Amino acid sequence: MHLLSAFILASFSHPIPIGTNPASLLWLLPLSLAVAIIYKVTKLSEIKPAEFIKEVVVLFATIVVFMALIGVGFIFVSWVINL
Amino acid sequence: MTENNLKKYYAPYLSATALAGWAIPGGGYFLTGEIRRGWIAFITITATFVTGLYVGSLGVVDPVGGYWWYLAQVMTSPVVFLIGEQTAAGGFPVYGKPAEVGQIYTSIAGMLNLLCIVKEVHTAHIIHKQEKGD
Repeated sequence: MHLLSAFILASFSHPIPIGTNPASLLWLLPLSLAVAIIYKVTKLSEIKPAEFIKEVVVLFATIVVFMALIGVGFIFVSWVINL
Repeated sequence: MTENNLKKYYAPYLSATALAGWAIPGGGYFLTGEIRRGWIAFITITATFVTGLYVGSLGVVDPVGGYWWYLAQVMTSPVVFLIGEQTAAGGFPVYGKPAEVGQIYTSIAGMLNLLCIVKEVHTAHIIHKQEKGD
């Protein structure tokens, strides 16, 4: 039990390695999912599993797609500036 | 004071709901009888916060160097005060991209809980009105 506690505590005492590369943007996904879930928890008048999951998936996809579009927009702006 | 009696008293009921929501993420929903909503909020907010701590280490809760982040993080639960006491001396290493991701995760968890608290208090307000028969 002590060993398990020590292992758990040790897991939280040092940062995990994350590079500054495009793959690090994938950390956006779990956070977007959390935002979509909580938004729908507060917004839906009734929580029915099938409807709730559908609403969350739609919102999650919307967030990700629009973030990607904003990213593309920034790339375009930077391309125009560097012309 | 039973739960039903509590619902009759406006200010204590709303305050208890807000405090429950702060003490345990989603706790206010449990108090208003919305158990399913409460569990979803609890699991999601706790998982987001714990993921942030795992990624960046406990050091992402920094009441000294990251005060504004800390204000958002504290909205997750009063437990963050205890973590802040442990990390204030700077004993936990935190740096670079993991620090950034960890701070964002833990702070967003706090802001999401704040959203839940507001909604929980609103639900409590509606329930109180229904109890009174308004």
